[in-house]
Amino acid sequence: MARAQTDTKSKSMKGFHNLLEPDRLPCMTKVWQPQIPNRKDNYLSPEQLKLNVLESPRIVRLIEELSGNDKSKKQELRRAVQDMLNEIGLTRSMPVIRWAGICLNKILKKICTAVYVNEESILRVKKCIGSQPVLYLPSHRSYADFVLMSYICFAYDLEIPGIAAGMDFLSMVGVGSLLRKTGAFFMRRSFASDKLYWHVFKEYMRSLVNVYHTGVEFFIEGTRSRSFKALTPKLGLLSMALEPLFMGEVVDITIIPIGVAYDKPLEEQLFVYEMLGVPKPKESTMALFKALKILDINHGSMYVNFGEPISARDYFGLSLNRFEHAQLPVHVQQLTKRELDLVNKLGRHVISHQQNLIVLTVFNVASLYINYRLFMDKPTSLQQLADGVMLLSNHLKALGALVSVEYTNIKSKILDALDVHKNILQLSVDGKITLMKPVIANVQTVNVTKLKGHNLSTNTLRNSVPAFSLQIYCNPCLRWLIQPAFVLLVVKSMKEKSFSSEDIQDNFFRLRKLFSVEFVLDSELENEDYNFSLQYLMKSQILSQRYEFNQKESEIITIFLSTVAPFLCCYLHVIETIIEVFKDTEFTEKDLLVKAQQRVENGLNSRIDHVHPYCLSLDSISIALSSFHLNKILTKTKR
Amino acid sequence: MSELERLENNSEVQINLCSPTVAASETSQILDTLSTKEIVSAVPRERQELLKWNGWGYKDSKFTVTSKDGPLTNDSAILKFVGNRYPIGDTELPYFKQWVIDTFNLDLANKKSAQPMPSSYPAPVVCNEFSEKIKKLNILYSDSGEDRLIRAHGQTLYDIHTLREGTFPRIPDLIVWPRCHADVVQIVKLAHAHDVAVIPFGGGTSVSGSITCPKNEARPIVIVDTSQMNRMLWLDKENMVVCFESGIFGQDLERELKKLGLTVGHEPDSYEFSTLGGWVATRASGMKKNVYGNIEDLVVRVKMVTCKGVLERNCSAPRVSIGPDFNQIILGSEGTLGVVTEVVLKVRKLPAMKLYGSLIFPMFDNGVKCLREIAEYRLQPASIRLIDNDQFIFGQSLKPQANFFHSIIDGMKKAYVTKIKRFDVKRMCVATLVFEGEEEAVKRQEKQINIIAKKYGGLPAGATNGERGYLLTFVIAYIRVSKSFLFH
Repeated sequence: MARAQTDTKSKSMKGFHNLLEPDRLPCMTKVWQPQIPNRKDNYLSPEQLKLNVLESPRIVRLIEELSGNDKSKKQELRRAVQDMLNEIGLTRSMPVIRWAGICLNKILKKICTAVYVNEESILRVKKCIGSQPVLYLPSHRSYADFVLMSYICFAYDLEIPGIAAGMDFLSMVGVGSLLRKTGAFFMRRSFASDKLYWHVFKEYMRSLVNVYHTGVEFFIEGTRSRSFKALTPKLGLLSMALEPLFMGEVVDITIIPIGVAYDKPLEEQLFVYEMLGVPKPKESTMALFKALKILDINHGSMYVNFGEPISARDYFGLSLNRFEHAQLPVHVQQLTKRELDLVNKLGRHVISHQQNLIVLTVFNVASLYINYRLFMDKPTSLQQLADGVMLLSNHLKALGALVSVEYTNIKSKILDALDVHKNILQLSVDGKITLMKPVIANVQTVNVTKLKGHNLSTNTLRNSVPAFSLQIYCNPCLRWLIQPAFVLLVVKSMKEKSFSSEDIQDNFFRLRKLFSVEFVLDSELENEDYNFSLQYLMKSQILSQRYEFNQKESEIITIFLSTVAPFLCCYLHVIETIIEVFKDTEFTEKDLLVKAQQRVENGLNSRIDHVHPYCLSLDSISIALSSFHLNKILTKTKR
Repeated sequence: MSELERLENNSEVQINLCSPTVAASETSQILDTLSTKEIVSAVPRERQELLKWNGWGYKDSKFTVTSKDGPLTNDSAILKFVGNRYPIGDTELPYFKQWVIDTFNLDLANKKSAQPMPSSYPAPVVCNEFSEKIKKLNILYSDSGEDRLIRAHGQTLYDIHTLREGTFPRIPDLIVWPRCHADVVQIVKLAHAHDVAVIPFGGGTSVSGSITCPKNEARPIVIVDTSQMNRMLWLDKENMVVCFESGIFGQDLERELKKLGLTVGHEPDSYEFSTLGGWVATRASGMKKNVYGNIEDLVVRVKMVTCKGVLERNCSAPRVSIGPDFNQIILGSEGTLGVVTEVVLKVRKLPAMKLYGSLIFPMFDNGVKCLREIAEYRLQPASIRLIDNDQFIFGQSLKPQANFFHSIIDGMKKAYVTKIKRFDVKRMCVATLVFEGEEEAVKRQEKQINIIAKKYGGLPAGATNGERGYLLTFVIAYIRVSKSFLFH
């Protein structure tokens, strides 16, 4: 976060331009002469790339080993590898890309008000690349990320990268081959058991980085973040992609973190239901057509922001020890534990950058303020909301966030945002902004055993869905607010009259550690983060040098504290569930999900204190569980 | 800060490519286990199950003397090489019997037999602390007298004589079987800490005394038997190098590489029973060295565990312009400096063609001149050997009794050589040849050599004679002669 502070000055929405404006709308019939990220003397075709993998020493060796010198078995395995490569490998069709682009131009104009791209940031990227492998690492909040990135690359004459996608798309008629032709390559979700597939995929990924020219794009969060918070990075793809650097096959790898933000992601309601545990419809082409009705809804704006390119070689510095790998041929080596730790560190660094790059929208800030008012049980008028949004924007900007709130016409901007999110909030006739009561048909009788959590009643859903939805829009702001909030919470909880600054720091660390999984906080940065948060609170005179609350700033203090509340309540319920239901007994994750949700549902119905609809989130309950395990409060065994 | 300054400020960075690194980085950590191949050796860990405890080679293969009927006399004796592992197996060798009797003036009636395996052995010099720690490391070990005796010697005449008729003044106290480089590191570290002497042991075919225990050694002696470290750690076909653990036997190594269409081509006479580590430690030479080189030409890198740490070159390039080359210190160190654990070797494709040949010369001197000229033109095939008249006659004597048809052919050949070409059987000598390579190149080379041979009165004597000469190399090793005994 300290890094974010230094960036503050340069952080403004200045470089952003709306791609949908008539003079910027990408022309899909233009001559295609893109900038190549990794220029080569000879460019491989997608088919040659696959051949390269098939004939790589690792795969040849593996086939030899598995066939046990049996010629026909060898042929059979070779064919199996070819099939795998055809399943994995990207292809390229310019006509498909152009047609898809024409459709996308139409669709985006229909469903969005704007697609804002930080042009300065993309020009900066174009300046830095050309002679090294490039990894584009965007944040992942929606399936739209898959097409949006390629669309923007096309718009700015940047070669469209290979994009790692899940196999789910392949089962959707037409969609799989469409994505493949626009640069997607596919990986099976779980392939730890299939040795051959694992190696073939790994080799494909390595070759993409090593010998292919387009650059590679993948999501290090591994999946779309349903809660709109950042996720702990998955290191599989990243370590495969960085292997050529560690082994000394390439001089450097350029990493470009990208923040993609949506006013309203297409999947918003699906995510809410998924986190509540209501079964998610399987992706199918029919479902996609049904989803087309979401195309009638205005989804507001999208924001794409490219980060400063990171040179992996510079980032690792002297810890990149290539002597270690100079002793053996590359294809017989693997990364060491130490190197995997470095990959992990880089992964976390990238996640942190992505969060810095994500634009906070008017609605994000408004949700935060409404949530606080609801927490205080106070009604909110439009004027109050406008003031609140201004106040919070100032703090968020000062903390380093990129906020798309302009100070002119603030009320109409808020009204626009409310219109996009009319399924969550509405402006009532009395001028107050209130939560919607959605119409939810009685949930069809579902197979209880298939549920991930407790079978929630329709009534609970009706009451919780809007507040739950509101919370996930608060979540992107928490990256900036949560740690100052921890400081305030610790100070508030100090009962004794005299306490030392060490007491505060220690308690802060403890709290931070408990929520380190929830908010992807790096333990190495705890001192830095503590000092930054404390200094911020003192500098903005929220907290005095003697750790007293400034009474004039009581509103912002309560807002800060209200951001922690849903998570605190959730963890509290998880703990109480464990103590009440599972005392001294073993339980599975699913047992806990069911019982904790049941407990929260009862709490919501009886309107007790310390309960928030977000406590129903299966996401947070299971994160709480892993945090308790990480903090050695619980032990985990494998059956 | 300049690059150099940064390097200097960081002591962990190794800037010398060839420096011996005491704390060499663990290659076992970066090695992908997928590339490693376990190899089932032809020789079991309990080597006495397959090999003689007191002589050369396989238990089932040896020269025997039996009597046709009645008591054993020079007349009634039948001399045979038993076992079917070699081409002269299980056939009577009447000419050889006669040769032996004539050359050594033997009376087979006085045949001496070897002493049986001893029933008691000298008590081992024990270091309890060391043994306890070895046990804790889960390393296989043995202190049985039989295991100790078998690994107390090489294959010199003195060794064989002592086994058959005497006792060794000192035998080792403990045998350990490490499974990998890391095991050896542990063993050597412990031995160093507890003042235990280490003798590395591979195939036990040494003729240099390097595995003989010093008579007056008072410290406990531990034998590090490398035979269980025989994996092919990795193969790099692109660069044509392979890495084996040092305990792999020559026959296992070539058999496994042959499956992959490759060969190292190092063929010392002992290659069935000697190990890669032994070749390195004794600076071995193979009979096909003209093409493939001696062991020092084949080795790219060696890993050796010493009591001061692991010595290895920190880069895999086959040659670097920096020195001194520590491989040269390891090669021929006879186990005195450390235990060789892993070796990277050059490999080649199996030759498209292998051709045997032989040349006969009227006199040894002609042969020498011919081979000199072949050497001057650098025309040596994979192997070329000049054999003097004594050995020529000895080689002829190892032929089995010919049947009628063969004896006629042989008679005609002999007549052609002695009567028409006027070779004197008592003075003539033979050169045996092995060609390996592409068919065209082999044919051309053979032709050129024949032209040179003609200049010195040499005659091509056919492939069979040449092939026989090379195959018998492995049989001849079974003869370890001394005054008091002949066969074992």
